[in-house]
Amino acid sequence: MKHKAKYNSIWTSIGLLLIAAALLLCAYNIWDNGRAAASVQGVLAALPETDAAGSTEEQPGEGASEMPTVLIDGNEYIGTLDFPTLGLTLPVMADWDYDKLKIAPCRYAGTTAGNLVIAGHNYRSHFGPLDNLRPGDEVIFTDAAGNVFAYQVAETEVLQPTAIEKMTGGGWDLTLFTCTLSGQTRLTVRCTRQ
Amino acid sequence: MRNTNKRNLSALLALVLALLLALPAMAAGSAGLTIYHERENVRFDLYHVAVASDSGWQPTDDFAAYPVTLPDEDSPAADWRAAAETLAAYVAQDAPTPAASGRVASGSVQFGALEEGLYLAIGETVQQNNTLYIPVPVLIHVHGDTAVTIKAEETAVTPEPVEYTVAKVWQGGENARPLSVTVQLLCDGQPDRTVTLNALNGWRYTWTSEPGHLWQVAEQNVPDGFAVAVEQDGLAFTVTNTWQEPQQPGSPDQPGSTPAPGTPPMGQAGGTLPQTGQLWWPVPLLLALGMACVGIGQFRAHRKHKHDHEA
Repeated sequence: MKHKAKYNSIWTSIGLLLIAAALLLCAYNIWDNGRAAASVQGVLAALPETDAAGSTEEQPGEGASEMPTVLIDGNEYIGTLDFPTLGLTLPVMADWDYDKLKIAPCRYAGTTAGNLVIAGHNYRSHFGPLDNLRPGDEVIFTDAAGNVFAYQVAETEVLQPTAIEKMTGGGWDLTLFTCTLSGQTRLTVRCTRQ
Repeated sequence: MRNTNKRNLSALLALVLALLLALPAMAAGSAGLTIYHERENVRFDLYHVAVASDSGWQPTDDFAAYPVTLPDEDSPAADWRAAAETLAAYVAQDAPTPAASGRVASGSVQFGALEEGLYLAIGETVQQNNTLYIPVPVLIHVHGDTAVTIKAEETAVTPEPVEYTVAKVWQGGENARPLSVTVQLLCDGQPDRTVTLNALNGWRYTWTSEPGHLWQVAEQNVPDGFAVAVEQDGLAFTVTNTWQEPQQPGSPDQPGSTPAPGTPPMGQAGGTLPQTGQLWWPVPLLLALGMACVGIGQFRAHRKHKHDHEA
């Protein structure tokens, strides 16, 4: 009889542990969201100041247009993305790795000359709200030299994580992508230059 | 008896010490180099770049940081020239200690007691009668008694300013290329300025210089996985970054090349797009499983309780 009681309480304990794990993961995700929001705000606050001081590596005699990145906290940024319909402004890093994606959206491929692809984490403060974008919505990219590139959302699609060529090769002026909530596919927003 | 032991011990120690001291001297001793040069009293500095090993050149400490592909006996002359020019710019920038130095007397300068290996010879630039004599930097495989003739390039010093260009060229590694590279421009061996080359400036930079100066170009922070070669053709510098195939783990070093770092290239993470999602999916799964387990536990406890009660 006794071992059966023990068996039952093990079921309950395992259940409680799983629930605790779920709550901990939930809490971590919420904390991580807040951290991500703070990090983009920090970068945005540093951006104008760096602009005014001239880009870090710029040499006298060079035009600002030749210097499209600014260095903030050791990371190079190519500019900012504005989503007027979402009320969202985000800095964009010059290249990507997983540590950088935790700080801000990152350039994945291409340039403003064409085929610019930007990847962002699906934090609510990063590319999470991208699923609210609708065709016709405005997306504005301002490069580090202050040049403004206005885009319009053309369509959204969901791509498999292995669809690298499809992601970069569609001939779109600007592509933004982030993970869907499941993390298994990529929500992709295609934009054309206005 | 004890004294004899002590004496034997000190003799042994002295012998070991003598051997230890003699070993480097023996290793350093055997090779010699003669440089023939047409201008008297020109100073040549000799830098020890690499030693030969079974797997190709093994760079010395001073040169280990430069991702320059070192040429071997089968390499074309252009590769030797490019490697020498590239390394010469780094030497001008970082000023490592030369292994030996000497001035040309009676048409040549001799270096003795060299360790066998790859050496970079850099001669000083001399200006005379409105002409700049720039000895060509040369990489030399010194073994046994080696002799080379080093020519000087002659550049007329014109009154007009000179316009130089540096351009960036990529070879391979499409997915690993960074958005920009930084190059250091050196004037007469001194760092003059750093410039950033990227797609927006067409990977090109032009500058104007007063005549009569020696300009060199050294790439800073060469992108991971790439080798660098800087070549000069008149007033045009070309900085070429060539993708090095990442080496298989456990395989020996490629002969004649510095090991390519195996960092994953940008834009490629195991052939998939970056994972940009938070870990949300386990939350409902864990919750559901947890609640099911608790449910089972409670149900069983309840049934047991009922069972006990009935019994």
